[in-house]
Amino acid sequence: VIRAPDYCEPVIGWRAWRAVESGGEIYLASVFHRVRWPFLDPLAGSCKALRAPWRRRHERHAPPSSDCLCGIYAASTLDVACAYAPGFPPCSPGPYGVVGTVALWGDVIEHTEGWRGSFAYPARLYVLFTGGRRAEHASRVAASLERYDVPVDTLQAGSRCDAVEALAA
Amino acid sequence: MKIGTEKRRYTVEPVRSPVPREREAEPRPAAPSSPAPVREPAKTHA
Repeated sequence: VIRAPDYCEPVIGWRAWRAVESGGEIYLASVFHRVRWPFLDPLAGSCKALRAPWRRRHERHAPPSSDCLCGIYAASTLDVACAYAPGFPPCSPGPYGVVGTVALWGDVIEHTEGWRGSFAYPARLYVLFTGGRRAEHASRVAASLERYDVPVDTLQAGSRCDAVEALAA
Repeated sequence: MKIGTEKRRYTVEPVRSPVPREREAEPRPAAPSSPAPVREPAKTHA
């Protein structure tokens, strides 16, 4: 029996990434997991919980599962996503924070403030910077992220609220 | 990421791929063509 999908348009939500520079290229990486988001290919979710010894009793399953926290996350509002963006407070060193929209599809679990999906690809990206010397580098990061072939911009934001206000305008 | 409590589950199969490269490879919808010529019914021998 072939089951018809419930929806034929991807779910669009907000999320945060790290822009990681490695081996001469800059790519998106998840904030919490060491997951690289591939250029021009969908990211397929996998359940990391199965690697944890105390979670071994879980059956192998395809993400997202209702019995697990696995899947690729997206928030329904920018405010929620920005809370996880690296780069705040402004003086923090390290990778650039990126926020933007993401398309989710496959199996999707809807939550009260977002979704978990089995496949994802970025839809629009904003590289956050706080001014000064980081502005120039943010432009370079944004240019590198154009390899995802989605719109990429830089966004000057000294705080999470600045970013939310700027993108809401 | 905290996204609240689970509400429901569904399947999503986008008609157009969200991945730009795959979208370009998708076949474009055929342009409307002129209607096929109407053939006259074959004459039958009485």
